[in-house]
Amino acid sequence: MKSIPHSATLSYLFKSNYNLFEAAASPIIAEDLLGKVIFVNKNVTDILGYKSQELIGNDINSLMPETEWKAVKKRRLETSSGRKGIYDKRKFVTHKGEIVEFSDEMHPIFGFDKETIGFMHHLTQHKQEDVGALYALLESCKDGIMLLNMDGNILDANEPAENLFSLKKEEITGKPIGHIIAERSISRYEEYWKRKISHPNDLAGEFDVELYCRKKNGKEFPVEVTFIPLGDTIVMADFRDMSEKKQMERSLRSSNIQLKRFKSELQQYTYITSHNLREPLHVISNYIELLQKKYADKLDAKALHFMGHIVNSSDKMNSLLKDLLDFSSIDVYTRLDETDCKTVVGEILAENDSLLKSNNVKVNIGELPVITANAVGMKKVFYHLVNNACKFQKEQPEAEVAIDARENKKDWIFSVTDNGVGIDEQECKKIFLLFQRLHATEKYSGNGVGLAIAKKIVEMHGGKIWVESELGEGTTFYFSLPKYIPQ
Amino acid sequence: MKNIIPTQKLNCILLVDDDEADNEFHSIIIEEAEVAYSIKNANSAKLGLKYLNSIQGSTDKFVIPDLIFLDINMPGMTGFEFLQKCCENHLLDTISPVIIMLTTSVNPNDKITAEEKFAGLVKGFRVKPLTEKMLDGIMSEFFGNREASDFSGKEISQNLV
Repeated sequence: MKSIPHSATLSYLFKSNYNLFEAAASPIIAEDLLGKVIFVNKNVTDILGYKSQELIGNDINSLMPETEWKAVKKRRLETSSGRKGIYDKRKFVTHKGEIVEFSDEMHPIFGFDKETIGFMHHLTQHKQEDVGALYALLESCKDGIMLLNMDGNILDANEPAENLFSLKKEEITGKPIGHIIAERSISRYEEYWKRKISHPNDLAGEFDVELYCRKKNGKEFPVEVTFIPLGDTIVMADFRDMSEKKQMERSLRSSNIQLKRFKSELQQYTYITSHNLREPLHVISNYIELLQKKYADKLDAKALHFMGHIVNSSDKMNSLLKDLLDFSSIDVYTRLDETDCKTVVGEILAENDSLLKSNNVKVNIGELPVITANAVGMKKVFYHLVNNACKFQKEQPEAEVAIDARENKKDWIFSVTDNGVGIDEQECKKIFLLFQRLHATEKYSGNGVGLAIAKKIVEMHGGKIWVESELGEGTTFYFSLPKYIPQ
Repeated sequence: MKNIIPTQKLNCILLVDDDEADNEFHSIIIEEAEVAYSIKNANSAKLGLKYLNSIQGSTDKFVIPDLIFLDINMPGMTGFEFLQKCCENHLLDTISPVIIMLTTSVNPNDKITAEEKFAGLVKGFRVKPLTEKMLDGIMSEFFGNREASDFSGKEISQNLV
């Protein structure tokens, strides 16, 4: 060791710059290569409660609890081998025997021949309340939290962090955080660290990062980490265990796949059922018709009346099955196009001209937009709403139906209004259910499928359908369609 | 014919079902079983309510139903809504008929509704179509000890309007 001759140099260095160091805002202690105190500024003597001459020449270890000695020694080696500005959490003992904690930034001191001749401890004392609050936060927090220095070395860890990584904090303090990060996530961590630490105010990019970490036994698991620089010396790393979330994501994904399969099975099932049921039904109606035709004169009125029931019921079943088939095949209307609602409504009115004329319905069309939607689907929605409006009319000379649209920020609201019989408030909820009919009378035909189809199509587009009505006054059906529909 | 003794014959059975063909068929079964002097067919719950309203305080016992067969799934007003209205308007208080739900298929939820909301009122569930055997069972289960009625006319099935 060539420390002894250098001590004089070191002492000289500090004496010649005395005013500068004395005026520094933070406590500064210099030691030579043997660990003897060469210089302390006023801040140090004030805080530790010694006079400067009581400290100069003494072993710096005597100012620290024994637990720090090993760490300081290790840090001296690192510092002299060129790693500058390393921060540690360091405890000192005051004259009264109290422990004071500093953040210790250690710098090598070079002599005239550019060799290390000692070390300077640039201390930062955290205000007691700050430290207290920080520690209270650390201990009460359910997330695993570690405090790191600016080099990414672990200074401290709370209990949840110990549990998360299945180790004790004594086992990791002083080690670089890379130690607990899985190989595959290292580059991701480094990139995130660089961004958070060298540009802490740059808010671009993600706030958190998902990494794989390693437990003590080497087992890797997913975490979400946030690095938050606290001042210039400490970085708080907040770890949240994502194992459960990942597990849930996986099970959600598999449930989704299953759901899709069920849905397609159900669709197929409905289709096949309604399709196959229609075949024997046709046979029944065909032969009853034949009976009616060929044997009408041989059967009495009662028999013909009974046969009437059979014909009516098989017709009814046929139309129910057809509607069921229609309802189940809506799912094919998924392709989205530029759809001009004015054209769509125009087509419907033209195709149903005779229905409108026979019911004496006058239709007023407002300004209708061009939207992104499935054109066939939209046509069905408007058809069923117009058909519904035409069907439930009062005994009046002229029925009126108004079709309109209103633009909102995010969606379009369409409305189909009639001046018909209206719907009882209690019934309004039921009307969109499949095969739900509100009227028992023969006057209003139908199976109760139209509005269910309209609802399904609107909802497939991410919209909603609802109804407002006053009994005896009329009804307005509204449906919303989002302007932007994710494909 | 069957082993139903004449003393068990009911004064009146009310059928409430929106399906006209079903109602007619059930009337025929009841007529042939000779278990009632009169049968009233209501083709909607509303007609059924109207009928029950009309017979309140009537002295003619052949219009007062001892037994009601009630469909559940009907447009306009369901069987349960019918029962609700009956309760609200006290239409069954003096009549206290046996009510049997007669449906195409028994939905477990309907049984729960019946038990939760109409316990004591709904006496049972039967699946369509009504058969003579079913009628026999209902007669012996609910009408074992009836007094004979002095009705001498022919069975009458009447469609309510």
